[in-house]
Amino acid sequence: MDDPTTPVVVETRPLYRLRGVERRYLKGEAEVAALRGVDIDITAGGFVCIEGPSGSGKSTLLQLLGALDTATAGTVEMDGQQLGSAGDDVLTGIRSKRIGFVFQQFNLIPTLSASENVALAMAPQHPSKAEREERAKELLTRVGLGHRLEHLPSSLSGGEQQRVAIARALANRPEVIVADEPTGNLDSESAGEVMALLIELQKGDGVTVIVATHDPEVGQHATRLLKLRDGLVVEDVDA
Amino acid sequence: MALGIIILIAALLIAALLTLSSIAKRVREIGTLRAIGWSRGRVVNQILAEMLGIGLIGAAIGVVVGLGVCALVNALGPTLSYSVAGAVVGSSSASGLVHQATAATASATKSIHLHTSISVLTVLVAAVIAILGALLAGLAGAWRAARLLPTSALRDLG
Repeated sequence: MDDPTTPVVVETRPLYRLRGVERRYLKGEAEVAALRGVDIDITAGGFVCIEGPSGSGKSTLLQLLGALDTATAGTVEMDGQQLGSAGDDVLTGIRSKRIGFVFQQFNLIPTLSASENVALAMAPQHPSKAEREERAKELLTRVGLGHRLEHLPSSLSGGEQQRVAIARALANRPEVIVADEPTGNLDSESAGEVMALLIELQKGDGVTVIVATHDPEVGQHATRLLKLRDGLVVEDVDA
Repeated sequence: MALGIIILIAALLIAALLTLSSIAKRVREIGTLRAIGWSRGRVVNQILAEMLGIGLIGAAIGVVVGLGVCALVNALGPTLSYSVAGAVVGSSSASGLVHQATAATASATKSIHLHTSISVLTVLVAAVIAILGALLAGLAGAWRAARLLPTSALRDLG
């Protein structure tokens, strides 16, 4: 018979679990170690900042967390699923349904409008054009661009383009937003707007936000700060 | 006929090279599509759909231009003339030297009146070949795009 006084143990499995992760590349004839043994757990719902100079491995770590790449050694698990041994179809499905990406260069398709760029992410999941358009309009309005739906990227400022990219990242209601230097190409005002948007997503929507940056100011917004140097985590601080 | 086939093969090869070149310039775009959840198959279908569109446009332009040229030729009715020169008809030799004496040569002038006839079947076959050719050329680019890894595409900041 259940004893109501017995505490209920709730197992909190981390969203990500990395053990002994290494990532090596061939650069010409030389082998470069971008990551040299990373062991971290990332729980859901936080704002994680991965900080480090160029060449520290932060973008490589982000790509592993985003299921864009697989480790040379070690294991990367997302919600208990090993990403390293998963096939391309599985990883593609994870990226489509669970992860949203924001890139430093925005990576918008130049010949498509803001609305079409956002709808592009939904194509694998939502065959209905009307549904995609409606959702794109909703997301662009949320990021403050409801009046710029039909504008091409070339007629948008850097900050606006990045907000379109964030709207695209949110298209399939992801659990995780992975952002690689999201403010790297922006002026300080636009950078502030973009960071405010990411913080709102984390606090308001419970989305796990993982940002890679070399800018220490971005780290001030984080609930957890990971510092990387030469492919290793040298500091892991809960803010 | 043989010349036509050679020209067709050359056109296909050029189209394939242009498609490959186009894919090389779109590495970041394709990498982005893969990163946001597009499968390899979807990327391939996208490229083939683009090539189909190009093939349809190309076929339409080709048919229009071809019909226009035919109409022009028939309207103007140009005539091509050419002459065929006669052969040497006499020779003599003296003191070991060969002298050739050429009698008056006979020449014939021929004329060809240009005229075209338009066959619906020929037009349809030409259009189908243009479309199939575009798809065939697109396969090279689609294959290249399918092999692109999302990360290598994103690292290419060209």
